[in-house]
Amino acid sequence: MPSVYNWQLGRDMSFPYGNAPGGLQFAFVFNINRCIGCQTCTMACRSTWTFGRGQEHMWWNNVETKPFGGYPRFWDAKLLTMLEEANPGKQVWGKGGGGTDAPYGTFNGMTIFEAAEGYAGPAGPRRALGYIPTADEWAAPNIFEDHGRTLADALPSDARLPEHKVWFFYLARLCNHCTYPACLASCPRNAIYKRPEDGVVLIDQSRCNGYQKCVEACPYKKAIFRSTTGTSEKCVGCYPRLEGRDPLISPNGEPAETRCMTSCVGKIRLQGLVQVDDRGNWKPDATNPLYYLVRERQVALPLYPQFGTEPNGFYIPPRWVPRPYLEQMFGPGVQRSLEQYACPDRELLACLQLFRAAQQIIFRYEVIKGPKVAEVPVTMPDSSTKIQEIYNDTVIGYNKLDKECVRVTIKEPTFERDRMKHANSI
Amino acid sequence: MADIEYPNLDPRLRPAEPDHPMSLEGDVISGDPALLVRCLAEEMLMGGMSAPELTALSHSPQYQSLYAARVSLGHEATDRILGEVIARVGVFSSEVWESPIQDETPVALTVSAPRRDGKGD
Repeated sequence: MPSVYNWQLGRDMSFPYGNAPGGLQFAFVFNINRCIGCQTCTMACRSTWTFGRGQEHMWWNNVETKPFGGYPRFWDAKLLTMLEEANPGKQVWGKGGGGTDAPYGTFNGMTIFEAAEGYAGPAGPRRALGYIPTADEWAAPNIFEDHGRTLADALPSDARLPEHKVWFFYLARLCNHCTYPACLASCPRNAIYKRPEDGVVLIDQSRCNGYQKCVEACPYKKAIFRSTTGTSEKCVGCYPRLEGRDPLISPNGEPAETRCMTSCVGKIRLQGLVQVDDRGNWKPDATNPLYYLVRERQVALPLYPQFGTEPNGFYIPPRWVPRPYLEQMFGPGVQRSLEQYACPDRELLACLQLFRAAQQIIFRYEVIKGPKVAEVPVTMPDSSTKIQEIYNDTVIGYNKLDKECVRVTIKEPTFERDRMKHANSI
Repeated sequence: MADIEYPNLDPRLRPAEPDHPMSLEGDVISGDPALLVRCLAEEMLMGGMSAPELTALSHSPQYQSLYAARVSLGHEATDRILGEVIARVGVFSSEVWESPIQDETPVALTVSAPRRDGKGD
């Protein structure tokens, strides 16, 4: 099997098709700290793409409550268990890290492609370790939503589980349009392809014969079978919007963000297109907000990078969640990410203002500096406090045509004083 | 239309089967509800939510992140933490100017794909 470089693992790995083509790559950053689980993104996608017959269980975008929720149910726990069984005790990250080639260090365990090498099940050899979820697992998209405590209510009366203290968070998910897609690798019909112009992974419906190998192989379970057409379907990255074909948003053909991104109420989402070289690595460009957040500052981290597909969805982890859980989910970059996000410096704070500010995709941004307007003590992940400086900065986003598409100015925080304590206030 | 049989998803109502484990094992994943409330309150305030809105949200069972913490910590402790964070952080805001769209005339978009059997969906 050919060897490709996976920058998220910090090493070469096996992949059936070699390096992905260079060019632009669809990518996004979600700030989990701000997600309120309103499911507006879910419904925006649903009402655009998956409202037909046979698509009832098809949620290309979903928001699940971690640690108990998941769609399909327990998708991540099941795959992590399969990988652990394939490589017991060795699914670990090496120490170190840093640099552009291995920002999180080196993953010493097996990816889903490596774990499947030499494996031949009843249906023949497999390109990636995986499983097909049962109808039961697809049946409840928001099961255990808002569950922060144990599942005691769902257990028989004589069963008990230890109760952990309240913590949970909302994890919004969609297809990661991976650099090394397991769905593409596993398709026996070569019906799945990755577009060189934007890295979006699509299923050619005229070639798909519904073997469901992609459903089995996608570790994030974002390829889904449709019984009414006998084919599999997945997120299309709202490609008409990426191509600038919505004249309302893109009068001059500028790429626009997807439906799920632009509908986000909590302003947790920022989508972009980044430049990728022929080796699959991101080309340095610190003026691109995605590159800045993911590669330059490493504030946003990939979801389960150890699966090995090099997903292009990145997350700013929640500050209040126990560290071992986050490190299992986002890799060893969690500590660095949280320390920076909890008390962002001037430039990072400015870049974070771009989330959900514009419908057009921002290719470049710049900051006009203003005076310092406040100092605010903020909570760090270890419960200590640190002083955050707030500047009256203005951040300007530019679209693909290098025209200004959004301008955001940070303002001084306001404080409401208690009128009972300050009776003479006016 | 024929009735559809849905799988029984309630674990309490499912009959026990021979391969079901007869003992359950679980682990405590320690967390800090006070840290959760502080962090969430900071995020909401930095997102521009006002102090009264934040307090009202923490009383709403429709938003479990803060409500479950209120249940767990109690009203007094939760209100004390919220008051401390509101006084410390304040309410953030920003001004956003998105470039104006010139023409807002509605346009018909065609985004559907033909069915394989040639019939409409």
